[in-house]
Amino acid sequence: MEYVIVAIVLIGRPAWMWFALQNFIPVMIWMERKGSAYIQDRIGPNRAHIGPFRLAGMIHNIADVIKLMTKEDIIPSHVNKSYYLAAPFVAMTVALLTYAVIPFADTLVISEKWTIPMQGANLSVGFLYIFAISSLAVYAIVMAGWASNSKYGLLGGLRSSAQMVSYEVTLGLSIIGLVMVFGTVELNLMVQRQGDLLLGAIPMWGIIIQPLGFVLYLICAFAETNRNPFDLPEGESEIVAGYHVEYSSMKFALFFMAEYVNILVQAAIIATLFLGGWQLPWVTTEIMKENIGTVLTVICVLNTILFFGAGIILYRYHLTNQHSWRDMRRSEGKWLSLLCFAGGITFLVALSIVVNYPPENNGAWAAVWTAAIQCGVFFTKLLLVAWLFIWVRWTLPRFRYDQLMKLGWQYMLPIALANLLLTAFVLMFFERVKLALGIS
Amino acid sequence: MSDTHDHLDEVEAMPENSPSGDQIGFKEKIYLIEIIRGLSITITHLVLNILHPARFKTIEYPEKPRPFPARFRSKHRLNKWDDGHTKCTSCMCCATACPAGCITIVAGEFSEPMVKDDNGVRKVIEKYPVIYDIDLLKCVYCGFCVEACPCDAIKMDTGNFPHAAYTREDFLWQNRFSDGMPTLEKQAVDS
Repeated sequence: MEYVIVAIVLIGRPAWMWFALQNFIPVMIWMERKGSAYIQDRIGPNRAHIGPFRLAGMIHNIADVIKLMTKEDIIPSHVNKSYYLAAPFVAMTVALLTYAVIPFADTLVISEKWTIPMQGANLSVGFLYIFAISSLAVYAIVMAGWASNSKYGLLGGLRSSAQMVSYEVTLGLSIIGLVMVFGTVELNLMVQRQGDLLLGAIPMWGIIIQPLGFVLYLICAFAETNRNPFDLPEGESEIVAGYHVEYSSMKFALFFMAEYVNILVQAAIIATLFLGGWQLPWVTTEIMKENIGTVLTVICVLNTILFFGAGIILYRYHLTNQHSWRDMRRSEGKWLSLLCFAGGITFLVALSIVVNYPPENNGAWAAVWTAAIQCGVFFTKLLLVAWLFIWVRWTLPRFRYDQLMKLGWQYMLPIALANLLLTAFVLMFFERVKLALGIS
Repeated sequence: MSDTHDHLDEVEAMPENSPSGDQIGFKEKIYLIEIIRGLSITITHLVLNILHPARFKTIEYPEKPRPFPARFRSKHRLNKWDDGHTKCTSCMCCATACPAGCITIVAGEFSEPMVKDDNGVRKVIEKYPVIYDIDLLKCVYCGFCVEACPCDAIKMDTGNFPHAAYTREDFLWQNRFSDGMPTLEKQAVDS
């Protein structure tokens, strides 16, 4: 039995690592399109369909992929071919590599023999690795811009690299405060420390003990991922598309996807360092493992209600929907509500199984279920932060280039240093108090 | 229209709490408060739009045609008498009035004059159009033909307008008549 579980986890972990991030790219693109549309009082994409399913525009991603794959792949004659071809792959690879050290659940203890860290690589250098790898993203942009051998490409690459190099300084400094508080750079340990309670009530998330650091990191993350309000590398009116102006078809798509992977990775880092990672507030791994039956029951009940509610809402939408689609799209609401009801029934069955044959508390399966739940918690946080990126993009206008540099060097850097100093003083103060009171 | 400029006074009165360029205070300078205000505006739009889809102004065109005003000048239509004879007497008023010169009429003569009762007025009609063509690519949809017509024969009230076609011939709206009765009407494009 133990080996079955170990096999499931060992196969499931890399599969999840591999699929999760890549499959969030279309979700991100969908959120970007539909979110921006709804923010601007537009409808957004809603036409492409497979059978009756439009999924509120999600199918447009498939149409996009088909378009990008079948487009002519142009290599302009004036480019430096080897670097030109390498740049998109570097961009994508570097973006995906960063994700390797993010823990998406607590270390899985199946038995004494098998303890599996739920992250791609359990490196003791932790987020130093993230900084090392994510700095390489600049190379992809410089390569693309320079190898393109065109004015717009070069200027875009130049801007982008200057921006990323400037903001990386503050990015690094804004996290040092957290390292001082937690006393480690290992990401899983940092997340575990965030499960502690401050004054016995507030979870010790990074955002609560380092609010200034959080704001600084968030702003730098926007700049690092070249997102609005710092999307200077692209500028329709000045430098067209910036560093990827000479790229077409799938090579452009790689840059496009790398941008979203970068956002997801930054969101993952923010969720890990500042929002408690896989920690469900007030429910630690031990509590969850001891009450795994109750937890699963609650989840099943909630999901049943959710699915049946969604089914009813979708069916009412189908009835009141006055769309005059002349094809199968007409019956989309009906099919979706049917699927939702099927999901609800599945969770009812799952509920009866959980109630009748509850998993053994503190057993191996309890550990696996706990990891799965923590994984869900982590990715919920990740998507919420990723939504913040999109939300900000469709709210704020962009900075001018000199404003960007001024903000980075003259305001953010001193504030980050002040934050460090303040954190050091506060920590020192508490150490002295502890020494004076004789508490270890 | 004497009250045209009345609303300008309201426009000039700027709301007092909106800072102009050189009056940025501390609150605006640290960005964050204003950013949060902006974010709250956008998320309000998002949530309201999800909850009330009726807020969208978008008309999803091919499926939901845009409702036109009552006097919209759409594709032409030739009016008929109750018994199916065309009302057109090929007087050439429309072709003369047409600024684009898109109307082609070939007149013909009834074998014997038609006698029609137009709301109590007795009318003797001798002519009818053998050919009545309108080139919809040349037509500027000014409606002068409708105004010029003394018999209410041509109307622009079908509610359709030509969309697209692959050849120029497809835009030619052709009518053929024999002794006042329509024998052929080639619908121009997909209207």
